[in-house]
Amino acid sequence: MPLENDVNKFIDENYGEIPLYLIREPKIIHLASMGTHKFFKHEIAVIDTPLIQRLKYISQLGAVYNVFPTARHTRFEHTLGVVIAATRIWESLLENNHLDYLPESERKRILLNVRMAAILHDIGHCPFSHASEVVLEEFTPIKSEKSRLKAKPHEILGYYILKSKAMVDFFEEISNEYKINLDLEEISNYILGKTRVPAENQFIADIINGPFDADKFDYILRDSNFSGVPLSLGLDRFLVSLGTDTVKTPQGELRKLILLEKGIMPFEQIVLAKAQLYSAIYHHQKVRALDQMIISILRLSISDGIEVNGLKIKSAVDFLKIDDFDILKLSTGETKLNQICKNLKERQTLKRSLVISSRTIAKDDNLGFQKILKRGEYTSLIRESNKVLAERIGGDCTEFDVALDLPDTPKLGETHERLIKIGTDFFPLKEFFPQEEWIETYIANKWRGHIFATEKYRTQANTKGMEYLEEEFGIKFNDNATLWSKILPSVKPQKEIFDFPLSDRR
Amino acid sequence: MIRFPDDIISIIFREMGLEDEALRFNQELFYSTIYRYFKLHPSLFADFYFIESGTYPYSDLLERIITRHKISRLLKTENPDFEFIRLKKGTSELIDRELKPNFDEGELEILKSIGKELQGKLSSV
Repeated sequence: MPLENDVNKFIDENYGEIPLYLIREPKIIHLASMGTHKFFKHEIAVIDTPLIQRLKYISQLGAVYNVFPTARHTRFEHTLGVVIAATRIWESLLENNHLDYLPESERKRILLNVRMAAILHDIGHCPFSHASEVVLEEFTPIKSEKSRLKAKPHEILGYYILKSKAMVDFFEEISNEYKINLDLEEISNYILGKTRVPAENQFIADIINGPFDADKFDYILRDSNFSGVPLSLGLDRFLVSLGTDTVKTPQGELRKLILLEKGIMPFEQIVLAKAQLYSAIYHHQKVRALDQMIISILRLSISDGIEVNGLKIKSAVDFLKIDDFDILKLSTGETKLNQICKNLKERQTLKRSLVISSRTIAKDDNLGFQKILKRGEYTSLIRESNKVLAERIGGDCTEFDVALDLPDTPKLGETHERLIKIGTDFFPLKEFFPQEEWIETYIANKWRGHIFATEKYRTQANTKGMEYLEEEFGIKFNDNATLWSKILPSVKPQKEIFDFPLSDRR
Repeated sequence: MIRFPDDIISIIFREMGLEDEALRFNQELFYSTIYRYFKLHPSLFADFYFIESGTYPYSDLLERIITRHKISRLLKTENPDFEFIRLKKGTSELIDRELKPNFDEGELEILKSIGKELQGKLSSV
């Protein structure tokens, strides 16, 4: 069944008639990171639906809170933050006189659509956010829609949820009840960064999904703030530098969101912040190990037919019926899945057994190293490697006790777009400073792949993992590969001296 | 033998003569050229897709592939600006021996002409 039909059936069966709550007045919501903001009545009616409320139970950063304890924020807060960020972008465009050509009524109508797209932009997210997307991509319908719609799995699911009959009916009801004119088809396009009339309206889609989108503003600030990893972002300065203009693209001339010269510095901050978030948080070795555990839990629930929230997961759409809490509830019982889940809850994570990087592989083995890296493109091949590793380790080791991890690097394509306007010409960021090249060099140097394993198989995963990768890809690891995995204590543990309470330190 | 999209780009880099001469990399130019050939030879570039609403055709797969080349140090970037790229010494021979046999004559001809075209374009940047 095509994915669109599958999602339609799911929404119909589970949300048949989506309840429309009558909201008497706008609501003020206070949000850390983005501040206090008024939400309109019809927006509260949408936010109060089960489809948006479920985002409260989907962590924004997977299980990162096991490493950065305050990173407890969810897709729900992020969603509200994106509404505020999108509104601020719109208001800046108004203040910068870039929307003067639009009649007042049209400006109001578009803003309501943009805000609604922000509310709905993450509606397709599944348990532990991006961690579950790895498993979602293993379903053929998602794989084929990914290249057709040029979108991520959660965007594809979100797009089809908004196309479902129940949602169309619900939005018709909303429009009638609150006397507004929401364009659900266009809202679903915005989520993919598209619009029906790109020549005139691409900049509107860009606000939701584009080089300088509201999503990025919120997640950079929120992830940094709640993880306790401070990063600087001159958002106000960036906003006063935004505009719209007609620029050349492969699709022809489109009106896009552009940046004036004074926005170069905060733009550089955004690109730097992205790279640092990856290195400090998203690619933290413990975070990657936790992601691998989540992937194992989801794969086991599918392969062993284990019920999650009373449901056997058989398709990508089934992921929309479960959240983080449903997964964590699986921690009692005797199965392999139960054990991994218990370990996840108790922070008994997979451990580093081998570090894979340009600094742990002999200098002349670049093509072999490249052969390992390109396997990262296909999760099926990574899974195959995990099975081979488990076989080599032997005993009762399974593919869920070891994990080859080759993380993706951040996308920096926006730095090459000719969107910075000086005079009548447009330039890419790199024209002023080769920032992307510097950052890519930073990323290439910071990048680490790993073999993770449970404590029981940690040492064997090191020896067998090294043996497997050396034989299969013709490389040679140096001592750092093991040393940096910290399997063996390299120094005698020192006695800690507590001569005064830690809290008294200033 | 599995053919990876990375292999296509490795062969193009090799045909650009990057082992002998460092070139100033230009992402817009590089992506636009690959995009044009992607349109002409969709089966050869089957794994690729491009977003067309930006100011140049953007492919996240292509970005990942180039980064992977840099992480493995197969592709080196040179100081002070890291704008110049060069293939590591001895790489061309390895690519000829290990990657090219997975492609037929016709495909290799296409990749060679892409490499030569890019070499010419990037030399004049």
